[in-house]
Order: sequence, then structure tokens, then C-alpha cells
Amino acid sequence: MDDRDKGLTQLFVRDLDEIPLPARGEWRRVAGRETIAMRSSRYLLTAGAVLAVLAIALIIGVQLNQRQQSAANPSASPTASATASASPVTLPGFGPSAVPSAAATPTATPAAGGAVYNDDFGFLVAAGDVPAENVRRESGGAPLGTVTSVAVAVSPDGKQVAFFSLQVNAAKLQIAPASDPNNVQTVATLGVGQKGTGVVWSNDASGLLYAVGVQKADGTMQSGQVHTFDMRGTTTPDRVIYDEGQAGYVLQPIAWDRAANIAAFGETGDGGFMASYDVANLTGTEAVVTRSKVPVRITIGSVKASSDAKFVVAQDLDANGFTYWPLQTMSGAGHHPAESKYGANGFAWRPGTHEIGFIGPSNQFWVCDVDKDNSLGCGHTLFSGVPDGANVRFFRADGSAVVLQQSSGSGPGALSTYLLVRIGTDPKVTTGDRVTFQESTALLGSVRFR
Amino acid sequence: MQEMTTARWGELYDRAFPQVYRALIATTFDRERALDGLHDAFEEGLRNPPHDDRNLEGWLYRVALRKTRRGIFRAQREVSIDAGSSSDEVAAIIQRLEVGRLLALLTERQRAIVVAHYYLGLTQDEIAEGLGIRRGTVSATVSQSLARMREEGIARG
Repeated sequence: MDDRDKGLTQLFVRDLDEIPLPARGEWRRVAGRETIAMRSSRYLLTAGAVLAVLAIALIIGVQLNQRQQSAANPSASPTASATASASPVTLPGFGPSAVPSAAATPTATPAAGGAVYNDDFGFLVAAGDVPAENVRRESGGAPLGTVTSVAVAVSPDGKQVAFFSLQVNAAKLQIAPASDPNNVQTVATLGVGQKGTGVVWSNDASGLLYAVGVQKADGTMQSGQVHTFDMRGTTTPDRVIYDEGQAGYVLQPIAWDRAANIAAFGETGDGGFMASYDVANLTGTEAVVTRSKVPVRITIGSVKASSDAKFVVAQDLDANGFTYWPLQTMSGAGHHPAESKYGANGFAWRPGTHEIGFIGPSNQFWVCDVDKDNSLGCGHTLFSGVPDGANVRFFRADGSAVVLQQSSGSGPGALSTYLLVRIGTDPKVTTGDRVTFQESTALLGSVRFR
Repeated sequence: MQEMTTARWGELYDRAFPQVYRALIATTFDRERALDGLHDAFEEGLRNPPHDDRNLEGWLYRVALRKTRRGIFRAQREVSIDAGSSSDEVAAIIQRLEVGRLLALLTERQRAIVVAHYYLGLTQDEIAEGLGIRRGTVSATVSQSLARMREEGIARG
């Protein structure tokens, strides 16, 4: 596809996306509403009936004429009958009550524990093996909406989500309020042949850091780019800050600290581990990218930044623990807090803090405040009684609760058990401040509605 | 691949609806036909779901377009039958859009191919297979359409 084709594609997408959509109630045929075809059928049937009546009249006239002309041969009289009736078209199993809804059946089975649930918040829940996520309230119920994407990022305050649409060509980078996920707003349209590979919000939620892969004709990734997108209304909001991604490797956005004007992203290498940690200084007209070789084996999917984008944490496979470092340099990577070895069962940043939550010794839930890390360690206990084998999934969007995965089901339809534990401001929570519930698909994150 | 249940089909349809609806509007310039075609395609999917949901937009567009083409003659009747037709509203939208003005220079057949290629991102092979025409015809139609738009001096070069 040449440049003119790319320009036309962008023009088509930009303009045709302006066409307003009909109300949701019109997306599927309303029972009783006539279609063009049905109306046409009715006209044809009506016309047929008129023709039939004319035919009957003609036949009767012929009969009368024949009777008049040959009264001696009554057995030869022909007969004719014609009826026309329009029956409404009804499809099997199709009607208002049978129309499938985009709202999937709720999968959550909350146990008693309403005091723990807070429906100012909700969960992102994987929608089966469809590349989509449902948003629902913590206490369960029907999804508020569905985000169709392979990459969803929740804003630092939990109130918005960003993601890529799944178009084959000219996919869009979109955002939506967590409380109304179907109210999608397109912020950027990718170039022809580009595919979004990851997105994160800036720490003040005024911008997006995203990565795209450029596809070859056979669908494989040829190269990669990292962009920043400024949503503050600047004239040139989209900026390519790195375009040297290597074929076959993935670029993963990590964080964008707008106050410090730096963005960080990772590059995979052989084996899928993070091979390079890249920091882009965005102060000048041209972004200056510093690439650092990662000294330890890190799975790129485990790399997460704190909500203020000041620190990054990742799973260090060599140490079987987590390692963290300041956003601007990875020189401290490979340094592990004393408690990090317990992070093998997962870890997560507590939003609004520099605390990394993990499961520590004696089935206790700990947090490591990296601001207070010293040779004696950084952790302290938040609560005890963590079930054996539980994993840390994520904190509630305001940090007031944490979600642990107690057990995972296996096989189709199997349920996983999750544990929601309220932390609040008092770190000494009681066993009453927790509730278990089950999901048939994975819980992916916490969102905030108010 | 996940089994295509009625609920799943409905979910996939809802996701694809916005883009396919807009593509059909841009092709037919007729809201009623676009909606009818999509409704028919939805019902077709209930009866005979596509084997592959990777390019559902393309599947829905092809089926809906086929349905609307069968209804072209009937639809022309409807324009005069339906008081308060939405055609004026669609015409106003099309006229407002730069792409709409370009598409208005083309025949509906040309629009079907151009929209499939530039908006839905279908390859020329996919368009040829879906619309039951030769790939060379698709290629020629795209070229003719672009030339037609350039003739008017408003196409982007």
C-alpha cells in the first residue's frame, strides 16, 4: 500500500467514523417491524390477491359463457380457487426475548460480605477467550459494558480505560470511562499495517504512552514504534519517540512521568525476556532514548510502574523474587529487597503509594514500601490468614482493598476462587473484612466509577 | 476456536455493528437498506455462523451487502412509499463529509469495493472472494474509482 493509499485510509476512517449510529434498540430487528423485504412481500401478495380475484372473475365469466354456449356438456366446466394470505415472518428462536444481548451472564458468585464490596469500584473481567474484557461492579451483577481489545490499561485513578480497537487495518487507540465502557472515544488512529501492542496512561492521566508493531504482508511484526499521545489539546498530540523496534520483538510501554518528562518502555529479546529497558527523555524536540541492557531475566509481562510512575517493579526469575528500580534508570535492577523472595506468589503496586504488596512468611500479606527500603528490609504485615497457594492479583483502584486469587479452576467452565480483603486506613483488618467469590474467567484489574 | 453460541454471536455482532453499519451507509447512502442488510446478516449468522470470527466486519459487510443488493429494486420502491424517509438525513451527512462527497462520484458497485478496501481494510483478494468477482475486477475498480475522484480535483493525491 503506497502513501496515497495510507492517506485515503486515514481519510476514510476519520470521516466515516463521523456517521452517527442508530439507537441500540435498532441494531437488531425489532419483532413486528417490517423489513423492506417483508413489505415488498406484502405488496407482492396484495398484487397477487388482486390478480387472483381478476383471474377468478375471468374464469367465472368464461364458465358462464361456456354454460351459455354449451349447456349440454356441464361436466366440462373447470373450477378454480385462489387464496392469498400474508403470514408474518418469524425466525425460530428470534424475538425480543430471544435476542442475544451483549451483556454476558454474570459469572460472579459473591458470597456474603456486602460490607467488603464497594460498588464505587469494579473489576475488569476477561470475557472468555474473546479478546475483550467486561467491566462489572465489585458485588457482581450484569456487566456495565465490554471493552474489545487485547490491551487494556486503567488510568492511575481507575476511572478510565484505554485500549486498541481490533480492526484489521487502521485500528484505533480509544478511551472510555470505566463507569460507561461503551462510551468510547477515539483519540488516535494507527497507520495502515500497524497494530497496537501495548498502552499505559501517563501518571497524570493526560496522555497515553503506546507501542505499535508494523506488520509485514504475512501478518508478522516487522518493526516497532513507541508513541506518546498528549490529550491536553495540543496541535500535534501524537509523537513517535522511538522507531527502532526490532523485527519479531515486542515493545512494551511501562510508564510516562509527565512532570519529569520521561517515558520508559521495554524491549523483548530472545526467549521473550525483557532484553532492554529504555528511557526516553522528552524534554527536547527530539526524544533522546537511553537503552539499558537488562542484567537479569525478567518476563516483560510482569513489569509494572507505580501509579505515580516513579518506580518500576518486575519479577526477577533468577532470584525468584521481585526487583524494583526508579523509572529513570535501571542501574539498581538486580537489587532485591530482603522480602522479595516471597514475591514468587505475585505482587502488585498499591495505588497512590510506593508500596508493593506480596505474600510474606507465615501466610501473611505484606507490603514493601520502597521509600523505606534499607538493609533491614522494607516490609511489614498488613493482615494474616492468607490461604495456602494464594496469589496476589491487584489492589482496588484506591488501594483500600486487595484481591488475591485463592485457587484457579482448570478446564472449561471451571471456577476460580478470589478473595477480596479490605485494608482501609487501619492496617490491622479483621477476618470479617474479607469475602470470597468465584469467577469463570480471569480478574484483570480494578476500576473506579466515582 | 470457541463454539459459536447464540449469545456469543450476539456479542460479536454488537462489536462489529458500528463499523459495518457506517460502511454500509457509505456504500448504499440509504439508512433503511443498511439496517435491513445488517439485520438480515445477523439472522444469517444465527442460522449459519461464520467459521472464523477473525474478520467478522468483513463477513457481516459481505453478507449485508448481498442482502441489500437483492433488495435494491424493492428499496427503490420504498423510497417513495415511506413518508419521512431517512434518505435526506443520510444525504446531509454524506454531503458534509469529504469522503462522502468523493463517494458520491462513484457508482454503488464502486463504492462497495472502495469502502471495503479503504475503510474496512479488506484486501483485494478478500473483496473478490466476498463479492464473487475476480481480483482483477477489484483492482481495476479501485483504480477507476480513484481516477474518477481525482478527475474532480478533490481527491487527495
